[in-house]
Amino acid sequence: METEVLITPDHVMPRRCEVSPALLAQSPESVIITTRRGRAVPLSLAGYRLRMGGTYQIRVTGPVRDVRLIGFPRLLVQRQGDPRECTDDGVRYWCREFRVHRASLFSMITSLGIYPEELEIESTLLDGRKVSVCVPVVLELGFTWKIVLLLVLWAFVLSVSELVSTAVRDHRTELFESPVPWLRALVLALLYPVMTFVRRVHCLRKRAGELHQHFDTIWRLPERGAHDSAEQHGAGPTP
Amino acid sequence: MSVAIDESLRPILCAYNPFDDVARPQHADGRFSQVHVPAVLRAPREQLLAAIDAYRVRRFSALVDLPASRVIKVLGHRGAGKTHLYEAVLHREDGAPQLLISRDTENFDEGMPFEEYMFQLLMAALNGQHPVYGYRFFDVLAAQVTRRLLLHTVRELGPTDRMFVQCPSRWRQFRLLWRGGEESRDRFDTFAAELQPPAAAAELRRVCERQQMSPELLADLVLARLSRLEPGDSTQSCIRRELYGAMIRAALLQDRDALQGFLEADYQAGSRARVLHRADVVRQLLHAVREVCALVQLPVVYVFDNMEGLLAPAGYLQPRRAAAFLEGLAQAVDHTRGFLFLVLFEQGLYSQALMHAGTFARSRLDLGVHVPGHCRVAELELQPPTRAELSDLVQGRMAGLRSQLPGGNSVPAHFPFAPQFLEELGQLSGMPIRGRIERLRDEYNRIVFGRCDLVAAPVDVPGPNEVTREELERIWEDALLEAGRSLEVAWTDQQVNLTRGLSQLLQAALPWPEYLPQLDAACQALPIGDNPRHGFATLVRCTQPPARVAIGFLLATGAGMPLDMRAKFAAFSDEKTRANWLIILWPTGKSGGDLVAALPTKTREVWEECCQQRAVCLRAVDRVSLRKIRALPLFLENARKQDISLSDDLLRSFVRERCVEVFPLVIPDPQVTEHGN
Repeated sequence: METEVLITPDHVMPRRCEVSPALLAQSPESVIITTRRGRAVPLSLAGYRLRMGGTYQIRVTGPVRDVRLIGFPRLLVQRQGDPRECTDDGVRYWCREFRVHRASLFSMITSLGIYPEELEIESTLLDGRKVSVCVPVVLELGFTWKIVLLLVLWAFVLSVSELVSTAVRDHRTELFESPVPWLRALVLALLYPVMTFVRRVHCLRKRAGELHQHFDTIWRLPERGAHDSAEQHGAGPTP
Repeated sequence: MSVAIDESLRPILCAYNPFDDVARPQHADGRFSQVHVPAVLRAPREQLLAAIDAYRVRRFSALVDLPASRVIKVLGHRGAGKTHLYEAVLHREDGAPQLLISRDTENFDEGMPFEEYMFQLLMAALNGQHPVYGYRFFDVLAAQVTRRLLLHTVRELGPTDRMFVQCPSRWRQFRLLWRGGEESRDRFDTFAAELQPPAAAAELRRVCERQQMSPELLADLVLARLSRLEPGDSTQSCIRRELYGAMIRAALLQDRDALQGFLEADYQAGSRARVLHRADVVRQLLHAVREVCALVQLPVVYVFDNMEGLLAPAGYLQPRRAAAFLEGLAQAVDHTRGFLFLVLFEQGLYSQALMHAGTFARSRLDLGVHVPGHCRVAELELQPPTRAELSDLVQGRMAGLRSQLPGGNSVPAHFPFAPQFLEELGQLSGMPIRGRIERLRDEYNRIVFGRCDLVAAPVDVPGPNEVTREELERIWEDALLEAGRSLEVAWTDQQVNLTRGLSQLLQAALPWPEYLPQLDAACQALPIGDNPRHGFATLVRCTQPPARVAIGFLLATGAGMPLDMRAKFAAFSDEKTRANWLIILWPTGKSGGDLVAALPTKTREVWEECCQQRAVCLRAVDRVSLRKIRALPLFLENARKQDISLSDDLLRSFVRERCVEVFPLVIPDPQVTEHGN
């Protein structure tokens, strides 16, 4: 039988007896999102609230030598420029700029202009380890009320034109004599922002619930039987 | 060579003799700084301190970052200042933290694996009080590690997690759906900033309270992170989880028994297919503790002082014991990282001991530590002080009195001695420092007090090796105090000491008093069975009726208690003991009633399972007896250190008188037969 050389895969590295990961930092000192001018972004229970069309910065402080935005909704978020090291009031931080695009009109109408998402930021620490942090964000339409009013106006105009065209076509005069059809059109138009508000609250609450569940999974201790068994053994004498 | 002293100065000089303390304070309450003169033994001390500092790692990310374990031998004749050098290192002037583990805390057993012995010493040192500052090492270490873990935890909490931690009310939750999370974020940022400086470890709970954070909640968060990052049931993960968990509970919840939980945990349990040998578990336990020490730049140094007591307890070198110690030391050098061993040997004893060590051990002992600025340090030989050092010694010891003298600065450096006397003393070859200080003491007595102990000692004043009853009482009281301190912490660490103490106590009382007619033979402390932690018993041979009685202490609590109980029953099957009687002494608060019924459920089950058809007795032992048992080896060791020779009669009567309540504990109960209870 012929023999052959044992091939070690290229990616295999010599094994090192590492220290406990619990003793090492698994994240940079802080990761915050600010506007382009460094102003604070509102933080809600569902994450940072980012306006569509706005440009933002991810600011990472701590012993970091590189920052990358690796996970983000590609249709709505676009990275801008390269990460750079900046100093503000004597505090050095890494800055990663990105822009939030506007969604299509159809998407905005169907999702009522609210997108709960997550940004995944990978930082390379000074000791060469790569750690990633997920930051929950809510992308939403800017100038919300303007759009709501626009939509109300649009719905109202549609209703009125429908009424007028129907009245002219059918030679009906009650449209010009009674306010009821006008009121009906107004109520119908106002339903849209109400629906938007309700849907928005529902969406934010749902997202907050998901994040709460995630928090419970990560930060709550699993039920441990150790305490029970210790109690079962009895405390015994103590020195 | 006499010197005239101004009579007006005599009252000041007569306050005390500054040369009374030979090398280190002879009393436990003595202040080392009063007898220590930095100029003396400066070179070896600086070399040792530099070697210790070489084990203070600045960056630690893997095991290889730790320096290899090495041995430094400090050799010198009797009285050359070895113990003083150790004390000087312990009381180092810069106050840099270091964990010096002294052999005094536990006794070496040649049957015990060396790494197990190392681990027990390390745990005893962590659990005990710092010899200089008085704090418990484990508490300080725990606070520092917990601060770090807590800091990482706080930083890893995401922006929304920080809001959920505070469990907001429903109304607040509704408001937070829109904005307002900045407050929580900033609060945690402030908390992290307060935790950032290492000094925050000293007031960890206060920092939590200042930020209105509940320590219990924070402990839960840190423990959750720990479970996430150290998952699985591998031995290493279990050990780390238990160790860090114990530290978190000690620092945040002020649980003083947390370390005990770590020690009692059974790292072999679980669903792992591979059952590890105890040696592997101990190695990983050592590594986990060393890792934590490295994290806070704490060098870990094992100091083996008074090797005569270790290798020649009966006055002559025990070859097997010497070989076992040196071979074990060499194995530890090979198998561990990050430990420095400091062995203080009397020159002649070292030469004798080395003859019994193999080439393997010899080569490991000579490796030495590479110290920047001092090249390789493997062996330090203590030389007698030079004339200049002697002068510094006189000045240093006289500094206290000199400051009280009028015109203290103008007093000559050799005051109150004649320069010729110091010259002659400096030229004496071969006399170690202790001898020279004794000469200075006598000369001071002659000059100041006008008497010469060497020439005309009164008949009723004891010589240096004789002992008065008062002196004995004082040493005994010191030993009792020390025993009390060592028993304040976990008792489980005291298995070896108590077993050996009981053996020495019974041995010292031989022949036993008349009210103990059944016992009549030598006794010895032995390791039994395969449990290195709890498996110890004192074996007593009984002639009337003929029996071999094993006496063990049930010291463990919690989960370790059934293991401890089971380990004691190994006395029946162990070949070394082959006992047919077993007395288990349980330090419980209950003085009467059914002790078996008072045992915790699991332990009682073990008792009921094991005591079938065997002569076994469970007895309560009180704190006072326990202290006395623990104090006896310390008493004998302290007496030996002070060169006090105790006559057998004096020791016997003293022990019988002082430990009278211990003897009834070891008499087999005639109502208990070999056929069962």
